[in-house]
Amino acid sequence: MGEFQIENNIRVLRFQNGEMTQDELAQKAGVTRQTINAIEAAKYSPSLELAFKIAKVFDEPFENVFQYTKE
Amino acid sequence: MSRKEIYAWSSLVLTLAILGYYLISVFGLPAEVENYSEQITALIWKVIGIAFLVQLVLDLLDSTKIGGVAKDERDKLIESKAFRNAYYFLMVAVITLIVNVLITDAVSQASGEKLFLALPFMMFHILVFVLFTAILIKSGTQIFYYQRGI
Repeated sequence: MGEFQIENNIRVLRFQNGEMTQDELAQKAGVTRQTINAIEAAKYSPSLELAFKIAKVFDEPFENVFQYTKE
Repeated sequence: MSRKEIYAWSSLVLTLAILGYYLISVFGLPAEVENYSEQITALIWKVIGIAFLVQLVLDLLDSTKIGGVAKDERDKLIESKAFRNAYYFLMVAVITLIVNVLITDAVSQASGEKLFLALPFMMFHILVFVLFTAILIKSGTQIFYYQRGI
């Protein structure tokens, strides 16, 4: 069985939402810009609460923002 | 670089500088650099001063909430891993020291000679070194996870 990993569309969604900066998203989600950067680069898997907060900022269903896929 | 990462770097530099100053005070400088002792001491004090100022500014920023969130879940996760590693090291070092004290004490009693490592001042220096190393491990672990990702 292959390894699963968390992928996200945050970068795409930021640009679809008026070219929102990482800093703006970080402020809306209540985290640092570096954490948003780490999530985008798949260097950090956010907590369920933060993942839902990010989805709420974009007003998108959770699965449109984060996916759990096979490598 | 996040504030917590800068804090970890300044903490690492500050600890190294204080440890350096402590080691120089206790053991002195090697003969080759003895002539530069004043310059080396002045440099260490400058490093300590700068690192202390950086930490002070970061603490002030955190207390005034300027510049957004100071610490989030990722920072807390990295910090907890750093504390865990430092704690493991500290426990292993302290247990090793206690076992060492028991063994050297038994050997000293049997042979009637006081071993070098059993001397109280030597134990004190080793304990101080262990504590500084634990702080270095904490800062080092934080920097490692900030650079590599978690």
